[in-house]
Amino acid sequence: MPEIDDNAEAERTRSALGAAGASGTWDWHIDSGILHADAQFAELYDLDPQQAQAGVPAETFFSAIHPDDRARMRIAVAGILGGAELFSKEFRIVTPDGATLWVHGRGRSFLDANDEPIRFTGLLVDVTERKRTEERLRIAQSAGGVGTFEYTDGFATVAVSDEFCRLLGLHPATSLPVRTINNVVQPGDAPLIPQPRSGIIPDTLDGVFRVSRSNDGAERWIARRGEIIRERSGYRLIGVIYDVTQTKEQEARLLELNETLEMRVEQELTERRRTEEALRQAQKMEAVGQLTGGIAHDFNNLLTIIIGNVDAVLRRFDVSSDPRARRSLENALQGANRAASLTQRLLAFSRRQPLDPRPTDVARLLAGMSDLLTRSIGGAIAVQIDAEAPGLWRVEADPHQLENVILNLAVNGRDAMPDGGTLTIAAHNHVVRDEDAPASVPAGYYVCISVTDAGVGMSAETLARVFDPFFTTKEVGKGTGLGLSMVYGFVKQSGGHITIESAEGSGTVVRLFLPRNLDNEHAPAAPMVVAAQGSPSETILVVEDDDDVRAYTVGILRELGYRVAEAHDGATAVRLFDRDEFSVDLLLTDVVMPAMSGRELADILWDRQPELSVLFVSGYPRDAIVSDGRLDPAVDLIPKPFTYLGLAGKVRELLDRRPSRT
Amino acid sequence: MTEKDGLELASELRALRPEMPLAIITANIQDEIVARARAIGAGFVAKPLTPDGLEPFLSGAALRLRSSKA
Amino acid sequence: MIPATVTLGDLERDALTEILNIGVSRAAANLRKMIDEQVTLSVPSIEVLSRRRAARMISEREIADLIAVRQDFDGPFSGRALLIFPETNSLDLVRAVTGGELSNDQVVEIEREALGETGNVILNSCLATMANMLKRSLTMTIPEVLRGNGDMLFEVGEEGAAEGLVLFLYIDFAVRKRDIRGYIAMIMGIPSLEVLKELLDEFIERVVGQDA
Repeated sequence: MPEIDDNAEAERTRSALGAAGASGTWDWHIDSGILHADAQFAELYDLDPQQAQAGVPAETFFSAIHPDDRARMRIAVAGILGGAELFSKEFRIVTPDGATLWVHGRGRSFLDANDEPIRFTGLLVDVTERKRTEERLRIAQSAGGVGTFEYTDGFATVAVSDEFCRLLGLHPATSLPVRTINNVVQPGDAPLIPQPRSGIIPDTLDGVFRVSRSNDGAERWIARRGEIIRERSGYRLIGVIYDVTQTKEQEARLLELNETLEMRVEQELTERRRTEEALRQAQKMEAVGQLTGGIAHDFNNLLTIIIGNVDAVLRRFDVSSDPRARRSLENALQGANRAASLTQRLLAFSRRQPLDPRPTDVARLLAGMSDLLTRSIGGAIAVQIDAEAPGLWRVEADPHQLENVILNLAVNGRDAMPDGGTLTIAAHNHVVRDEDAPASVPAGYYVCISVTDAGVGMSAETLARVFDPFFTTKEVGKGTGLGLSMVYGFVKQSGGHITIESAEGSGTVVRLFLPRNLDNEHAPAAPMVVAAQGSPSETILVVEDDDDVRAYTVGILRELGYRVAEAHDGATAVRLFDRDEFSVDLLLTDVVMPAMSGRELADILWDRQPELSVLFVSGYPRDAIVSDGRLDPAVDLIPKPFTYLGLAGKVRELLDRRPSRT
Repeated sequence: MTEKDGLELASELRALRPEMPLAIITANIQDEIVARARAIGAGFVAKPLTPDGLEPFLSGAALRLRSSKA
Repeated sequence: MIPATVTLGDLERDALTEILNIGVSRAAANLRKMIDEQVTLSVPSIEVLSRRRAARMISEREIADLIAVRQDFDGPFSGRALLIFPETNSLDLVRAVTGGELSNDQVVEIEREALGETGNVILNSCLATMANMLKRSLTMTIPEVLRGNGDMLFEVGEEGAAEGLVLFLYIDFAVRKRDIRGYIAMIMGIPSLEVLKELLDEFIERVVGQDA
């Protein structure tokens, strides 16, 4: 056979061997120092196959080994020759064509009866591909932070990679006791590796474990994946672990976000329910307010007539003629006044009462009420007034109504203390900051007026209903049930807030929070001086659609000495005004009239005579002259029913306010 | 018993009874110990003791005892 | 810190590994004779550690208390050899070497003696092999059985402990169906390790020759 064919043949063989992962075997006879090898071994070592099989010097074993690995392999073989049983080494050999291959030599020694080694046999496998793959795998594992393990059921140790140890914070090793690995898993979690001989074959290797890293104690989440390979007598686990702490933390954050989301939704809902509740309350008040306001309007007209006429009779009555008749008339007037007061309260509650807010010194107001309070409450109740004066801020409120409110609360307090006690009425400055603003009182500067009794208190159920109109805990006939709802209406209309604290058996504290009036220039209103009388040089135009009321009004004014013209509607009033013989000084008009309202009439006449004084009269002046429940500052109003004195004073006040005529 | 004591005892016994079969039984398989046992004329049996390990010494001793009686 | 004079080079490490490989193979062969069951002893990996480090490493691996068989050796290099098991393994091992025919009480009764003898065989396999391969001789004390944790076995905290280094071998007594594993540690002072390093160089010279 030509040599070239031999070479070609050898090349083909090598290719085939290479593809299969070339392997060769050797048999080293230690006593004779002869190495026998098979054809594949001969191929790798460039030996003649026949010669190799027949036997070559044992030294040949080292001939093809890469120089850098030779010393290491000599030491390894020395171990076998000295009595070591197992040989398992990876090393490089240089093939005849100069290529470097990685091979894995695996062998063992055979001992004679005296435990002396006599033969050393083994298998040489080309692992170049595997080495490269391993290298890639190693890089992939360390780059990807993946640790590998292999565990055979029944053994106490697990074969592991360095990365495996690193992930668990353990000293790098190729094998670790099962216990060592499971010891880093936090108590309560399943073991990372099944306990030896537990007899349970796991269903899956998929799992996540909490571990405390052995070296630094850091708590990490470790995921495990892999395969379970069943073998005859048990199973083998081959798997990987990797750190999933970051993912877990993100999950936790997401979960937390979801949880707080639920909480936030809950808060929103609560807030919304509260708002809805407030809206319902407002709607209820609005409905009742419209009803009472409508009634009050007609009622006030009637009361004006009754009071006016009784008043007129009383003024002209000769006391000596019939004292009993006079008493009856006085009783009638008192009854009518009480009816008027009730109507006022209805209006106050429905917030349709025209308020006349002005800067008010609460301390002075309370001081002025002292007598009234002591008289009204009196008896077994000690009234204590405790106002922070001086230094107490002013509030912007209708002082008369505020008095009413305080009186009302004081009466309630008295009624709550049938066996006597102390009633404290206090006023002090109060600042509510944003951060600690309670739901009922928004942040701001207030004067807090509190009325405290040591009475029977209220149950939670009662407390929830105290502001409802017509709700009363008093016996039938004792109260109107409008007290607190009126207070509520007043406070709200004055831009303030109200709180009630009470528990059964431990008294009640009602607190009014009225906004501080920062406009300190206004001096408190001077007490009104009644200059009752008028003169015929002063002409008053009275416009009122109700004939009885008009007649009563005109009667008073004429009695006071004024010159009076009257009209039953706006159009007539304008015509009268335009007649030359009249120079009208004051227009006194009802607000609510058919066709033309009092306000419209006033506007027309102001066009003609801008300095004209106008006094509105109304029992229900809501839309015409009142904006936001408060009087237009330029507008003067006298509510129905009015008295002789009341009307006299108001008219005089207006006329005197005019720039003096020269 | 330390190894040295065992070997010393064997050496003293050998002086008293030159013909008596002796064996050193030890896990200390150092070449030096084996050599010293041989120098005294004692057998060397390695621990752990097994029937196979003891057998050569026992058969040798039996042979020697029979031939000395004969 | 491990002084440079006792730090093993790659070849020295390979040589020591092979020598101990021989010793452990011999120990495995002997253990097989005693247990009469397939025993695989893994090719040992070797580390030179401080005593403190060795104590930490063993307590990292073993939660239970430890049991050890101790033999001191003296010669050109001297020190102390320890065969260490988790205490929970010891009765298993005793049961294995006694053929599993003894009652629990009997096993406990002879535990100390059986462990001492087993340790004697295994430690001697290693130490005698070292002596033979390095062509020196060592004297050895009789085996002694100790119990305790890593710190106690390595005498961490005792005077001169910082001096001592530990040649630490983790050997896997993979005995099928028995949860047995152990460690061999050799505690030596720096002068002894320096001598050992010289002897390893001589061994390499003999074995490798001109390929070194």
